[in-house]
Amino acid sequence: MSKKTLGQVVRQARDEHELTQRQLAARLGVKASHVAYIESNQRRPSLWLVRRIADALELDREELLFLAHPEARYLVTDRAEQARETPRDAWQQFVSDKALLKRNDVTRAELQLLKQVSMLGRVTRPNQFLYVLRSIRQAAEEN
Amino acid sequence: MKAKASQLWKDEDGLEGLVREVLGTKSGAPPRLASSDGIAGRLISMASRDYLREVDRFFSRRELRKLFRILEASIVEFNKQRFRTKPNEFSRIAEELGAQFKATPYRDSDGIGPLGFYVNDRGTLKRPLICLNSAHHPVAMGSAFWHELGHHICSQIFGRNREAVTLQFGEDFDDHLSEPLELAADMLVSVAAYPRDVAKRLFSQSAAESAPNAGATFSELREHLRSGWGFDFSTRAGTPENLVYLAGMIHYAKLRSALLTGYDT
Repeated sequence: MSKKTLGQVVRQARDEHELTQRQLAARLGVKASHVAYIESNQRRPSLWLVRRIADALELDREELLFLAHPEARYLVTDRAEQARETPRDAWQQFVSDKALLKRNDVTRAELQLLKQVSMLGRVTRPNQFLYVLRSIRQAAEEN
Repeated sequence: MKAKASQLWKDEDGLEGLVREVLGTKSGAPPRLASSDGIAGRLISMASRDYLREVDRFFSRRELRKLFRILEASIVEFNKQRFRTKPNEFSRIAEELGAQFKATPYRDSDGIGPLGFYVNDRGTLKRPLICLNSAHHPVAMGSAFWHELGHHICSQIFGRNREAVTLQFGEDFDDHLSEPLELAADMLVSVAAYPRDVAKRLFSQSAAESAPNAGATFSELREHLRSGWGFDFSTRAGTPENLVYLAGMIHYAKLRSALLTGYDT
């Protein structure tokens, strides 16, 4: 579900429930054109409507919320889940990408420092390590 | 009926309206979001925390007085003027306190990126570094600067090795309430954003009693951001960082209010 757009997910679920856009709209209490806009990713549903869509189409509310408002993930993701999976994944991806490390000439000392960054449990993407690394290098050159 | 300061943060309707506005989802029937609902739940949870009790858990009055004495002696404008957001101001303050300042832009594909970080590692850098992500709004950069400066000052007070690296994303303000060094850094932000005179006007009990309703006080916080730094949620509706900024607005205001009422700072 996470690799599809919100519109694709809604459209597919509506088809599976054998509903027309008009029928779904009636269940949601909105106009059929609003459903069409959502399915074509031209409009983001409100929090209220996310909930109604999820319930009407038997979709996971939270996943639908994240599709409609990706930024919400950063405030609602379970912290234990973040600590258990995402930061560790980001660090593993970063350190196991030998080509990337070589391309950026990452030294052992730099890797040690970035490992400390990873241990903060905040970094969720390998690129963020590169951002930190490049900023530190620039600062060192300017110093 | 006049609102008390403590009621402001329990105003779920006001908060809910703000959440909807910053997400850019004004249309639709007004939802009644319970505390268990994801995004509103986390914000409501943060808004309903007793910040004074959280500060009390980690800091005695004596320790806080010492910390603020050091800050007021080191930074002339501290607790007198709200922070400025010009990079040369950041550089000047950082230099005066023995740190290096740098700002470089970074964006993830979904728009969210770290606010900034602090590195105090003599093996890599001659001086401690405060680095900000300049892709963020200047007021967010300002908050991030004072937070990282807080880490720098704490590292000097508590010892260099205590704070080798810190990284700030901004989505985890409530976690800071259980980490004394993060909380100390946030206290610096709250005072830099709401110097004493402003804090007294916005957060003192008498000010709370004169507020017509809780929504008006949220409005006052927004006006403080707008008049001070040109930040306006309504012109940024739907931007990915907006929720983080909203969480920051609530977090720092609550912290400043706690410092004023509990420690007369």
